[in-house]
Amino acid sequence: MFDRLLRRRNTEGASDADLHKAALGGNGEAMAILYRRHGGLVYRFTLRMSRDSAIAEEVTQEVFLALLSKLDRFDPERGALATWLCGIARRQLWKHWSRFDSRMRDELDDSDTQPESAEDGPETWLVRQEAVAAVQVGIDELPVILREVVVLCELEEMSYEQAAMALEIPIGTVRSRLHRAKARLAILLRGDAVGAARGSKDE
Amino acid sequence: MRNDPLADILAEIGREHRTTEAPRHLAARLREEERPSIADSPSWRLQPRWAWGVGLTIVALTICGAIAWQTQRGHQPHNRQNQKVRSIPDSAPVPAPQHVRTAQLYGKARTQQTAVRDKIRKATKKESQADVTEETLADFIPLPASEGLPPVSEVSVVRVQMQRSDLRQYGFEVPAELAPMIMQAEFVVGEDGLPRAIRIIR
Repeated sequence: MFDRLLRRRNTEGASDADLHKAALGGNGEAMAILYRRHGGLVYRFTLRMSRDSAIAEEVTQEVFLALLSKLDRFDPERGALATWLCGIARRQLWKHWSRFDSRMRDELDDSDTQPESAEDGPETWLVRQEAVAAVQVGIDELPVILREVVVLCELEEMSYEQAAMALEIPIGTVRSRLHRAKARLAILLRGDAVGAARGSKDE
Repeated sequence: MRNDPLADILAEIGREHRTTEAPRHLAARLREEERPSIADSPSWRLQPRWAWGVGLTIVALTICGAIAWQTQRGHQPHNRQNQKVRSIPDSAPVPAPQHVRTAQLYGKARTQQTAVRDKIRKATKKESQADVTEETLADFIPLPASEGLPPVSEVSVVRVQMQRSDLRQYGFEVPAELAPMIMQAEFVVGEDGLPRAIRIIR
């Protein structure tokens, strides 16, 4: 009993690389710990990207099964497990979307549907929750390539390096995409504020 | 509170976002599905060693068997066709031909036989006389047509199927009633490709 507790404590404190090794050897507890550590990140990322809990669950499961696969072997020397998992999740999502070509085209198209710029007007007070809701919607409506950067860098607080590794793009691209995404959200936010101000005037 | 309202809002959304946990039921499903596949299991990794060991043993046994069989086969006297006649001992007795009847039919065979045998002996004398094989040319009848041919250092035995009438071209006399009969014979052929002696098989 004591031994088991001790072993469990040791396992909980083990590095991702050690746990991964143990999981490859068939250690179910190691896999469970890895899931507890990183399952949330993968699930949140896929949920934000897919906006569908069923898809998010499916992809999350596939990502963790990929940990045991030989094809996408995780190499601890190349990066953190969290970024590796996000990279796999992203690939799985793209595979999923490739089954629905039209949707993917719409999602990837970054050229149109620019949010209308709000006209310069007096800044009005806006209920914070309304602004938050507007940005939430704005994030969901961002093209995939911008949304994934926002989710990783802003919502998951990953560094640019980590996000670049997970998304397999250069750091410069991460920066520029994040800049574009924020610009869009800012426009949206200003527009919402203007709308709110107009609404209060109408009342 | 930061000056940038968007950054503020994003931070708040992020805090809320990070409270979302992965579904617990997925953990149980993963536990079921994560059982290591056969290809990943350590026991499977050992199996190629077993396979290699068994495979190598089989190959080694096969090779040994093949060598033993070849050795045994090489000693069997039936495989005489195209065998090199390495040497003839000087002291080898010269038994009478098995096909005495044939020999008698062809007249002066006995006297010529000795002469050709001497030639063959001379040809193979360079080789060690101690190296005696099971082969002898005792049963062969010298071909009358080979009289005057130069001595040879190496001879081969070639088995052929032919009509008895063909013997005439080698200097034998063949009775008309026996001429159309088919027979098997072995020729002693010199290194120059010319036959020196013949033995009737049947």
